[in-house]
Amino acid sequence: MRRKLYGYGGGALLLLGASVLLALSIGSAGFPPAKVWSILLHQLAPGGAEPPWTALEEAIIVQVRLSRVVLAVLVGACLALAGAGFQGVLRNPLADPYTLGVASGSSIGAAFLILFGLQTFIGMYSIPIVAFGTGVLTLLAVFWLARTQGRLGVETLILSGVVVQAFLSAFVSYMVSLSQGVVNEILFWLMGSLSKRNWGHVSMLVPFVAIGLPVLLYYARALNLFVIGERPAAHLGVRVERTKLIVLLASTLLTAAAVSVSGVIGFVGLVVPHVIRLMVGPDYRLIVPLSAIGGGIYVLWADTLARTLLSPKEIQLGIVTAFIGAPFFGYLLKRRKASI
Amino acid sequence: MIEATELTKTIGGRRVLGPVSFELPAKGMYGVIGPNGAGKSTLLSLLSGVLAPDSGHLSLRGRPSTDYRPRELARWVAVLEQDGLPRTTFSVREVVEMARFPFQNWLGDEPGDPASLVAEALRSAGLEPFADRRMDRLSGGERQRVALAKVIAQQPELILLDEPTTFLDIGYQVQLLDTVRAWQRRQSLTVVAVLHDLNLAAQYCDRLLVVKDGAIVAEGTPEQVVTTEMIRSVYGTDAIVLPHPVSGRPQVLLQPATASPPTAGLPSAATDLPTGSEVAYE
Repeated sequence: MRRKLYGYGGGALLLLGASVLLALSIGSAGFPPAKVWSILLHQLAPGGAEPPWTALEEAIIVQVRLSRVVLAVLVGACLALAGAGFQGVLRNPLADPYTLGVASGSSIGAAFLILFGLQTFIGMYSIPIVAFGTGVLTLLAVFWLARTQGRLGVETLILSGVVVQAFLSAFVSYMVSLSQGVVNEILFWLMGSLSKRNWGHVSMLVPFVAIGLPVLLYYARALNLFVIGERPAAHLGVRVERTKLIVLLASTLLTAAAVSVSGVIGFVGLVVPHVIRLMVGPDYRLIVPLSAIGGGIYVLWADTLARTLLSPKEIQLGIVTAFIGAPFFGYLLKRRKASI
Repeated sequence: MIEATELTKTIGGRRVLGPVSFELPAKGMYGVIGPNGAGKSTLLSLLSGVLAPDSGHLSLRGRPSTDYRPRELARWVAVLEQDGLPRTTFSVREVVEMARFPFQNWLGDEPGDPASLVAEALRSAGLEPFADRRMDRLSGGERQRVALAKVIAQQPELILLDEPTTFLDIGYQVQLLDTVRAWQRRQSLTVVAVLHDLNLAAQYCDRLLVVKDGAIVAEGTPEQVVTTEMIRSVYGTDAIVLPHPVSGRPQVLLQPATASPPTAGLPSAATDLPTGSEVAYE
């Protein structure tokens, strides 16, 4: 297990580093990777001679591209981690970060603000803050619906999520239909995007990943026992209800955080943990950390394509992730024919 | 080892168990028998700590069962269930290693030599050739042997069996219970087994508890408990009880209402149909 973790983990981190570097040098103003490197190194260790690049070049790399690249990696990590957590607790291959209706919940808040032109009523981060709040409220509603006699049944949870999601989606659609001039803006938010974000958005996600990743890693061994069943897990000393609650809570907060800064980006949380599982097997001690890295790489490349393919126009990120993710997943499914 | 006083448990508004009181000293193989829905599995869930009693007192190794944290209990109590383990992509060895969970720190490390424990458990369950095979490539009987190896690797002092032979053919049934009893004798363990099959219960257990409608209605050695009268009053059916020709333990022969001595040649409808059919269905 350890050797596998270091092998795959090291490889994945290298790939992530190379991807970041490459993505930084791709864009409307082209930079050779060497220049990107020296600008980045200069940020870490300033001083020395007069740098051979302009202040504008430095601002593009550091303020615009680097923040967007880091945000893409964090959003991907949040969604893929949440997907692994949901699949671990719900033990359903179709489970993803949006199964419990959090995406619709966050969308309600965002759509409401956009519809009434309130995007900045409490500052530039109004949409993320409100979307996160309504997402968490949705989770509470789902838990309240699903809780019977102090237990959270897996099937009841999924059904409650479906019900709440259907209700809230109808509401969001209604708001979309109400708005005439700004229809596109709500729809675009729903399809997810990382454009016009900044370091402030990055710093909103950092605490969630910094807490969510260790929490899920801590519960990875319990999630392994869930694979053989809740009762056998209980017989080995797992506090089943507490574990389910904490993992679901952590996963949902990660989802709500990601959705509130980036909109609804589909397929990452579903596909990345499955792909990792097909590669390394069912052990959550590997799936959790590798999903975080893999999700980061996946969203990073999807976003790089989204901003460059039809430049200067941007494609919505959610479209790109599904467009690449679905066929790739289908290919893996067909080729491996492994049970997932 | 186990002392229960006036234990009760209500599930969904229905009193499924109790009040029951009993004492099971350490180092024995105890069988719990009784009809469907009598409360046998509930009793076992109380002993394993998965359910807490509504009232009464249950002490395990001299300490109230509710005082134990789940992990503490799992370090010396193991459960083997009837439906075995699901088809997963974990390998046999990985599943058996899961038994070490209650002994591990959060990194998955434990003092001692877990690898040799796991290897030993695989060997005693006869699973060495399967160790690296995936669980979804095994038959039901083989997966139940993995479940047994997992229980062995947990190194328990108290083993709770919940109808472990239900889905096994007779070959696997005998093999499983032989393994459990040999292990119990060798290490002086305590085994409490809920068994449906009265013949297996009588063959393998030192003492039997008979549970009916949530109460213990009989207790004693197989010879004392497994009798025609007990079977009639607890299961509502007539049976013949004979001593086993080798072990001498009581064995049950079921007696269908329409049973009649075999006749030579094909039975004819005229002679085999019971004349008083209302007797047959009463």
